[in-house]
Amino acid sequence: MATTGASDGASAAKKEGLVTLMSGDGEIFEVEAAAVAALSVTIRHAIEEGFGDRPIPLPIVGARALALAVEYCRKHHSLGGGAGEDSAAYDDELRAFDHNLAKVDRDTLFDLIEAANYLEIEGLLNLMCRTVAEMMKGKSVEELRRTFDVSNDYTPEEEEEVRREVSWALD
Amino acid sequence: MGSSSTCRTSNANCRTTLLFNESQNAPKIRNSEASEDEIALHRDMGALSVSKRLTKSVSEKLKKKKKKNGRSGRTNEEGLQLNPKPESGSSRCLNLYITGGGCRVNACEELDPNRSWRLSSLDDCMPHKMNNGVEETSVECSNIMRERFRKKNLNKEKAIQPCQPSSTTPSASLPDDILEMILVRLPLTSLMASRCVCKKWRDLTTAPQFIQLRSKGVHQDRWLFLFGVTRAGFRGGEMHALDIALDQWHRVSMDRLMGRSLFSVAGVGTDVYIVGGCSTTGDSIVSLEKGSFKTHKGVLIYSPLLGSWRKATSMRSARSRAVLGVFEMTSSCSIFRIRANKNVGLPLKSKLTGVSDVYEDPHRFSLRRRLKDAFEEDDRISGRTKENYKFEVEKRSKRTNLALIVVGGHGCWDEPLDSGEIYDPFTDKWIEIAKLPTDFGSTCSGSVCGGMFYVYSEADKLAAYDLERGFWVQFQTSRPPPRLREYYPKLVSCNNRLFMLCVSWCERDGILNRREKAVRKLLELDFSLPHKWTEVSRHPDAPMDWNATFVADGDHIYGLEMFRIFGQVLDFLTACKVSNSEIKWSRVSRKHAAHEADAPSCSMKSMVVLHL
Repeated sequence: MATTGASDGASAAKKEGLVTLMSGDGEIFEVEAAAVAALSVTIRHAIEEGFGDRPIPLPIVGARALALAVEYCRKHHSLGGGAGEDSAAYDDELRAFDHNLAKVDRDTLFDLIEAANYLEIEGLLNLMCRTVAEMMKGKSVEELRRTFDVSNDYTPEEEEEVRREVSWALD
Repeated sequence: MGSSSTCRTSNANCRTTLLFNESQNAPKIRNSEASEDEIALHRDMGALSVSKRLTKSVSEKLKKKKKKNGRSGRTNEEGLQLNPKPESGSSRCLNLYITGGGCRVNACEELDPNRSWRLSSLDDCMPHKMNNGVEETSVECSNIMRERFRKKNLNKEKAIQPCQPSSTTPSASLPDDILEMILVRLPLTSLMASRCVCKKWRDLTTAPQFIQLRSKGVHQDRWLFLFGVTRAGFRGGEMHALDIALDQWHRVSMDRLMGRSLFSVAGVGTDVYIVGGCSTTGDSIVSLEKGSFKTHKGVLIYSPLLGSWRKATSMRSARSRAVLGVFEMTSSCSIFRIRANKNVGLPLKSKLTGVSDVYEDPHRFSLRRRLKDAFEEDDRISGRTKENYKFEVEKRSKRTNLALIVVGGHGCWDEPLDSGEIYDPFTDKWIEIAKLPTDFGSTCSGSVCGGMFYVYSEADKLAAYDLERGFWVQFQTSRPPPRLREYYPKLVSCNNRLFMLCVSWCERDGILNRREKAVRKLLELDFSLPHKWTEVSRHPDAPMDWNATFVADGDHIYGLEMFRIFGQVLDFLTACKVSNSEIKWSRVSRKHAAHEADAPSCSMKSMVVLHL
């Protein structure tokens, strides 16, 4: 895999300022190095370490999440210069973009969180974590289990105990 | 190894996930015959940096497996074994070594005497004996190498578990640290609900680092805790918690207080400290006037985030209704250092009672310094490995060291006390401080403001304890503010300004007019000489409660009045926003905490505001 990736990279005529990313499921993305490197610490490091002329393998990032993450980097780089939400550059357009990005379905949301964490895109990670937290607000325990596909591994006694501990805040 | 400095946490995260997934599947796999792929997979594990906990769980599983294999005399083809060598350079952490035939887990914490025979028998069975000269693949292998390892791992994993789809359930794929980042943003009620979801979520949200992360975070809401409200005499009782953002009251059982009353409360970080107090002796409810009650030294700590109670070391003196203050102990805080150096005299020599043994211990301070240095060292290391990783996680690195000062109150025979002590939660120790100035009178209120702990007495005296240098300063105000004796004055501090709430008759043209109504005034102390109290605001409500309590939080002062009206005891909660331009009172909640509360609640209530 690594050798074919390297030869692919060598054969491809490199355009200036582009970097190739390879998602976990093997899809190749050619993106502007400046935009992605400005927001993703992982890719900045990879480029610094000489991955600029070879595809950067991102094994745990799926193609769909990677496409969204790249889109996020592009948008935030071109509009806000990669600045955070508290800066003046974070204008209505970026806010609307983020708002739309957060409207994806649950599975994509979780994939995107993992991608943001792996790529170390702080703004995207914060945005996604906030979205999930927002989604969890006001949900009952059973609803939370359903949303996150978590099974209840408490014994009835344990569950009663933990419920007693937190009951004061729930009623 | 030149690229070791670029070692990144997210890599560790995903690797941790991989290993975690693997460790869950491990028993299943190892019950079948070990395959070539599996051996290679374990070798690759050598490149993984994993948390101690995970490695431990893996090695424990290996241990069990090994026991089985060793006893049945089977060849251990996996080549996984625990290294009996107790430690190498990096002794306390777990190292994974790659060998020709497998990897070697150096779990120095799990030495067990029975292991030697197992090891020797295993060594004999090994295709090629392991030695210590194996290639060590440390965490600091280059990024490129790690990229490949990770990729290989992933491919291997897919190859081994073709039945498992790559997109498993989201909960399984969301790593703990991401889950933590999400949970830390939840409001308290949702956080508590999430704790009931499963054991992992509970463990995540009750871990000390989570509590610390949350206490630093910006995702908290203000909660007001009201204590001392009783329904049927002194036994039992509840505390009432108000979620200020949602305007919702909650009731919390206070069985642990065993009917204690007249205690003082303070919020330290996310904990409530319940200091001293009285309880009646015997089973029957005896009136306090008969003197058959016990005054407590004990300090209980209630953690609303954990829903748990714990005991702190008891105070040196038993106190009820002591005056409390919470302050940040800085590294320059020399209360301990001054005491250590006997040559430094205390300014109020007449108040010296003799130096306690704690003060004489010159090592105490150095110990504290050493511990502090150790924390800073930790912070520095984590800062280096994270490098540019300016996620919220990093905010946890700064550790605040809050301490509690307790002054005055009433002793075992209800006599006013002039002693004081400071509690350091970090060391769980009390240290006595100099006594209050002579003829100070009985303490009625106190507040920390700008490195000083101000205390006001019923005799209208104001003194302040210098928390940096450790001595009392008496403040002479030009004249004490006119006030009604039966209403206790309360000190609060907000935005580095010191205020006092006291009740006096309304003035007209500078002359006290007793025919007019009484008003509760907010006075501010002028720190420049001559010190004097000036009225800055008036409470909008008629002062009905002689023991109204006030606490400050940020730029707000919260006030609670509780009194009997329309045949029942009701509470009225107000807040005052203090800014440089204006001081504005408003009603906090129109809901009442305590219906059916009994009359003693009015005189025994106390409250704190916490950010949870």
